[in-house]
Amino acid sequence: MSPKTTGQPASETVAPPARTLVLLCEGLAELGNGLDLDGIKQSLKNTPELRVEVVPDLCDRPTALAETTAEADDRAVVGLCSSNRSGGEFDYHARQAGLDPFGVATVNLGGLCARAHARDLATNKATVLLAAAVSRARAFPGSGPEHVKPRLGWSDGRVSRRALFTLPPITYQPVASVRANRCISKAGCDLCTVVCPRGALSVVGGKLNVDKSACDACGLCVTECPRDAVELPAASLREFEVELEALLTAPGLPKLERRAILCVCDRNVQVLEELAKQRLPYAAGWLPLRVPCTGMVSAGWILQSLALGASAVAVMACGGECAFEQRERTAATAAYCHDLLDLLGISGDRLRVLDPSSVTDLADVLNRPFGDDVVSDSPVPERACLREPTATASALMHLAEAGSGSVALRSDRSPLGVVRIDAQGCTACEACVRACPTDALACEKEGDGLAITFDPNLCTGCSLCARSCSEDVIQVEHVTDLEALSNGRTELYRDTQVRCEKCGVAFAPASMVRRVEQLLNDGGGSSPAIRRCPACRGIAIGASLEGRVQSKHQKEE
Amino acid sequence: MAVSRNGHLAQERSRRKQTRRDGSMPMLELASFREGAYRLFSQALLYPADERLAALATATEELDQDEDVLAQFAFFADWRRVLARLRDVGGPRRDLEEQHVALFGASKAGTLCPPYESAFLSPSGQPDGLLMARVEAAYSEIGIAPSPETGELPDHIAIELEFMAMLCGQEAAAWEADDVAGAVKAMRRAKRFLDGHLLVWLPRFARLLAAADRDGFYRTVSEGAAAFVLYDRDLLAAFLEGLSRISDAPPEDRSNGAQVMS
Repeated sequence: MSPKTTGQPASETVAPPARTLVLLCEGLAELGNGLDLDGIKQSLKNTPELRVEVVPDLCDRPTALAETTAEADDRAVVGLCSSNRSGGEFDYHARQAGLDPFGVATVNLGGLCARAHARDLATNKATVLLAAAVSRARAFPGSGPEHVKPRLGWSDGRVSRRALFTLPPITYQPVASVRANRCISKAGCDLCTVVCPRGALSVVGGKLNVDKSACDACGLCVTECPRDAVELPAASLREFEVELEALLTAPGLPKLERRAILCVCDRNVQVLEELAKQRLPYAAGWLPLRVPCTGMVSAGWILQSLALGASAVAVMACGGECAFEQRERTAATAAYCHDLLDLLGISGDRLRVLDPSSVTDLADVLNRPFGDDVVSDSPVPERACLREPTATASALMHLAEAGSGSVALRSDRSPLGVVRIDAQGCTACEACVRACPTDALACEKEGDGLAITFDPNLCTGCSLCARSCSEDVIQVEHVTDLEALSNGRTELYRDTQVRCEKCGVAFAPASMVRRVEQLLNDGGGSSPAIRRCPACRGIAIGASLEGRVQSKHQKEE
Repeated sequence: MAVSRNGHLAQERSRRKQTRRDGSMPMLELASFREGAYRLFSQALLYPADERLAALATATEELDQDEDVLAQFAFFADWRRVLARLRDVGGPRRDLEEQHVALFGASKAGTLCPPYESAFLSPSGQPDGLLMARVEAAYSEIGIAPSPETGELPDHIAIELEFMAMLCGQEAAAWEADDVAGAVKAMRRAKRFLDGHLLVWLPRFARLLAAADRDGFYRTVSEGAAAFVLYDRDLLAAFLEGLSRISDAPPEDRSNGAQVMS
């Protein structure tokens, strides 16, 4: 069997879906309230390029993955009875089967469905979770050596010298890597380095570097980058987008009419299994969206979920110590969203912040009934977009249709910003336009006219424009301004272009020429060539120099 | 530089059965495999003479038996792709010769894919004395120099890969002799050489070759080598990092020929 992963991220052109194998452990039929495995197969049968197999003892026999995978299968989804995945064994057998282990999604159907809910609800929920996992696996672009680092399973504590003679069991952990063609660190962008809790990212000489040994794959850099320039295997924005879409829109599931999204970090997902073990029921409509750290869940993710039709969204922050120290960030994001929902006239209970330290309290919060408030009469967006600031801007425009039309919320956690330019000092040099990572600022030229324009739907409030401005005339405010978003791209500054007095070509904004003249005058100098284009100016200066040389020679003679 | 340690590799095959069910693996076994892999890449990128192709076929057959052991490593997919291509090497030799000359041979227009470190790191793209001296200094650390018989410059891709094979061979010999310090010293040297040389230019060489040799043998081999080198560097880094947790680990040795604990 030949390997099927290329090691190269897939291109973004639309390709046919990767052929996917879904394996279900036969034990799920009898576990807890049981799952109707035939019903699941039936529900998934119309999914193109998909094969579903029920395998006896799959949970204890990872070899089944290699045995069942066919030559044509590119991705796999494994439905297990519990979260106790056999460490690197599935990865080992995935590689043997020619699959990329990061493209193999495992779903704990036992803990999340069979043990937690009545049989029909559990079966419906399992189908949705599998459909979402299939979508996510298919969106996985493949991994290469730059995307992973090995972790050696030496036992905790001191290791004996003899232990060195044996390479301990090895597992691979994803690490962030940079898409150089999208990254604009050269233009001064360092947003990802600021947010990284491990200091794994740094810009040296305009180039973004990743210290693999320091990266712990929290995913914050993935969300923070407005250009989608950071890759993290199995945690790309595209994978989360298709998973979210599938969780909320997978069809044919009458028992799960009310669906809600539960953003939970990988370290806390077992808390949901604990609810089932302690026989604490909760609404089956809560569908987990697993993330490396809830710190990567931006406001846009929450608002997009609601815009896509989620009855509610919950974010389960870490109860004790957050491995990445992101509890405050998660809480601040939730507070911003609550304020925004309040201004929009949407019930704050549509966003719930969960504390996993008490499972009974957790069950209480999850069991609060979903509200009946209708968010919008307009059709649900077809696609999720999780890249900020578009994620927040587009969701907000959708949600606001049923709420207040005029909302302006100032908050440091606003994923959106507004740029203002002091027209008195701007020279239209375009440094801000070049520095803007999202093309929120643009320079539009027509005839002799020139305009610096701004689209608040694209602004993250990163302030790179203000940092780049040599005249210090740019102010950036972290504000979510619905009116500004509705207006779209507007003009911030208008000027005319000066034409060369010699050849007539337009060569510079009038304000810039005036500024240079002013600087020269202040310095006691002047230049007759200031109103000429660079080429004609060069000729003029050259002629002037030549004249001076000739004059000097004549004097000497 | 000697290029034949395949006998040693064959001897170690029986030891590979020692790989435990928990996935752990004797370091001697791993070092021997890495030696064989680096040598395989090195040989595959040299001119495809008859005897070299025969040796490649034998080595491929031997390494092909290690699938069960190697599936635990992330480089397995790339490795299998390379072996699949090398199994076809028994085809028309003429094609391979022509490809080799077209890609690596000098012409009036220059070399399409120059297989030299200098070509990528020297500002002129020409053989660079200082850079060459640095490469040779690394070789001389273990008391070797490229054999004139190879007819290649010290910074040729095959010579650098062969050097890595020799470092892995030294490491394997040290593990066999229960010489932890010697093994760690060889690993640190290997990591330094990868960081300072192969990793700096091999990925770029592979990309250049991929563009020039769209679906060819040399594209597969160079891409496989570039991936293997990066995986290997990370594996060495993880192992050496783990040494800090070992009470009597050999100290860091950055100087030539410095004594370390034995």
